[in-house]
Amino acid sequence: MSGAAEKGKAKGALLSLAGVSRKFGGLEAVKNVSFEVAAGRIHGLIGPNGAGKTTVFNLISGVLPATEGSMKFAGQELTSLTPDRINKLGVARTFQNIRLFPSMTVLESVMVAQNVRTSGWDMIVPFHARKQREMRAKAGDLLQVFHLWDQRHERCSSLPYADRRRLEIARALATEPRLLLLDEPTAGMTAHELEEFEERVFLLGKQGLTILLIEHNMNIAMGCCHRLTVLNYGQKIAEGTPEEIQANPVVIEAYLGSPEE
Amino acid sequence: MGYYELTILAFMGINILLGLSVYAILATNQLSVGNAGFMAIGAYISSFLTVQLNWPLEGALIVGALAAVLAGVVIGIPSLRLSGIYVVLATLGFGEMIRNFFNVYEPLGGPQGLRGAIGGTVGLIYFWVAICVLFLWLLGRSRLGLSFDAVKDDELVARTIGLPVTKIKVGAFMIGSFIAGIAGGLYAHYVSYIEPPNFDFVHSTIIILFVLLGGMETLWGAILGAAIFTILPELTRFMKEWRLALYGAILVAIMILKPAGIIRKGDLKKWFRRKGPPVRFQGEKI
Amino acid sequence: MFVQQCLNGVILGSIYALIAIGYNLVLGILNMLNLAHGEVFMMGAFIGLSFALWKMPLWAVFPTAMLFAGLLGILVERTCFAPLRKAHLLAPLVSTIALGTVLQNTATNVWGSYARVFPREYLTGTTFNLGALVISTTQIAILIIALLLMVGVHAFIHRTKVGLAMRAVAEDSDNSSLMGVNNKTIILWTFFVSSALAGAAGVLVFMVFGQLSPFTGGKLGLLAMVAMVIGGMGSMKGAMVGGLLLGVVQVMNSAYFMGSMTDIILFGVMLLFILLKPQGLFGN
Repeated sequence: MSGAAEKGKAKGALLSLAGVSRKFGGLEAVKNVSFEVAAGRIHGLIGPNGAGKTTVFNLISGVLPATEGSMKFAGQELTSLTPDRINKLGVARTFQNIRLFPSMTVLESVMVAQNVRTSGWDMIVPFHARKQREMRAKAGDLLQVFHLWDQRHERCSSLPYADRRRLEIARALATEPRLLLLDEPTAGMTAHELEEFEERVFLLGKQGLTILLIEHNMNIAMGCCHRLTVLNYGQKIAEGTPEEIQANPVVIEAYLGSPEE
Repeated sequence: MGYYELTILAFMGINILLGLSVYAILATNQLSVGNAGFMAIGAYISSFLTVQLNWPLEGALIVGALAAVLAGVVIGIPSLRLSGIYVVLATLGFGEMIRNFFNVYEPLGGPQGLRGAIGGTVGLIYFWVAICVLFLWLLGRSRLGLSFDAVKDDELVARTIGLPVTKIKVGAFMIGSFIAGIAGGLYAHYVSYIEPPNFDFVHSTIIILFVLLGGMETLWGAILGAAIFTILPELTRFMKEWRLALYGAILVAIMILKPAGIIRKGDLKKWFRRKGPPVRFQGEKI
Repeated sequence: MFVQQCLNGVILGSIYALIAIGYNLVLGILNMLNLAHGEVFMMGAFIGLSFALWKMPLWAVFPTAMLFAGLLGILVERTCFAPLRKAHLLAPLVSTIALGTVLQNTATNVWGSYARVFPREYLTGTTFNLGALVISTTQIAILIIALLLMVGVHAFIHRTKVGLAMRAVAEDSDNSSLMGVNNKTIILWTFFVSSALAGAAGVLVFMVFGQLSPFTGGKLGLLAMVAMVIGGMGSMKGAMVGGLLLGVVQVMNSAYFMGSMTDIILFGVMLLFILLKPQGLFGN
């Protein structure tokens, strides 16, 4: 990852939410949620369906405004910032229902995500040949890592499901974030793909990227994450290490029996 | 080439420019139904400058277009926060306001119109067509063009990958209004007489019609649509009375059968069977 | 004199209201703008004219024009909305613009581009003096018809099964189909009612002005959008209030201020609302 992520490995919370709430009319989708994500860690956000996890992502990434509370990223207040500003600061995300650019090719999707780190004039006329080569190389590398190199000229809309998932993550990484929000990235993955995913997540973590992960797959959640925050009905009901969470009766009750496989 | 043919050519050039002006804005998913208004601003301002103040034509054209850009920004910025319907309504209202303004503003002719703007030639028209086509083509191949595409495909996601969507949309408006303003100035100086009815809502909708017909996804589609629209009535003279109805009906049919228009995004690449990677990446293999 | 102009404004306004209600009905159910609506209104006016010229009694002209207009509305739905459900969001909008152009051009060819005059016989009546106010039977008839139509639509939407279904679909398209409401039929009904109202408004417009050209008719249809925006998109109450306001402002402006600037002012107000209060007076 970039040097920015290396800096992020310093002590302290990279992301902190304090008393964050989001009301939809009368419904409180998220109520008074507070937690911190330490830099360089992989943090899980879990909870039953409808617990408000994706809403929290929408709040952090600026897609929805918070009705209350504060969210800080690397000391910067995120509330009332636009999503593009937030991404520029270093927060990238994926979507639960995979949103790709239907008219673009795989390579174009990754390249357009690099634009946020491209300086003004390069966007219109390629002046700095070296910089251009670097960026193209980075895009190529990213695609190779995610096994999308061969499909680079395919339209996003014609990709099989698993490729689409990987592409969305690759695209998010192309924005060179310090914090990556992954919304149920393993949905529909085969056992082999799950293994690959875990490896990739560990690798990214080792490279200094901080990851906040919404997961339904408990093996992944417990296996990958250093720490977990559990939500139910929009509120935080537990927080701790995987071992602590697994033993927590409140959590077990919230899931009502064994969690999804 | 006879006078008649030259006139057709001139109008085709103007229509191409108008089509490109709508296309540029449409490229960010915004439907502007008021480009005739931008055209009017370009036409009247440039005419005023050359006729009353004796400005050189080129300067007047550019200033007229810049005035149109100013209007585009004023309309564009607030409308952008709202959904597509509001952009349509705002541009519609704006177009009508502009036309009515020039209809009552006596110093620029009012309902009598404005005469005397001369100097427009077919050559000059196509000079500007070439510039605009070149600009839009380069833009389409650049990284900025990719950003436009992303905004068009999915505005929200575009934001989450750091693209300044609002700036891009306003930028598109500025490009479109500039081109329409140039078209207006060229038109005024070619026909030498402009009057408010030249720039009404019907004309704005006609531009939309032929851009959509030709293909809204590429600039070549806008050009094709403009060309067809200009030439077709000349071929079907006896249907001249019904040409708008014919045109509208064809478009409704096309929207049902082939909603993106005649030319789709990948078509040209397919038709000309480009070898190797898409040229977007500066010709180098990647 | 002032009161007289108020009356004129209210009369014109009630016509705008009828058209604006039509815009809102479609907006409410499909969240889309039917830009052919203004031309359907214009066609309703001229279809009514033709039947009037063929000596059909006025009380029959209305339902006839409304029927034809309603059928045109269904044509709009079938060609511009139904087949484009899966297409680009802006596609139906463009299609309605195209269809509107077809209607406008057709009307110009069939009825001529100059103003046509409504048969005088239908418009003569006695006038009454109410103090400073002079009102004719025609004007009273217009007001009554407009009022009846507005009340009728309101009752239709709130009391009948079809109307309630229309509201259900407008509120929640997914669930309403679960509740056994046939969305397709409801949508057709919506377009029929909305266009029938416009057709009635068209005949009324001939009664108000005595004459009309297809072009002017189209323009009036466009102006009704101003009423829609001011009143609030999707709101019936807003359409009525917006329409009345629009009519009064237009008449007042023409009578007392700068008549030539009327259109600028009206569209300017619409722009102001879009920029500053996009939800209008009663919209969401």
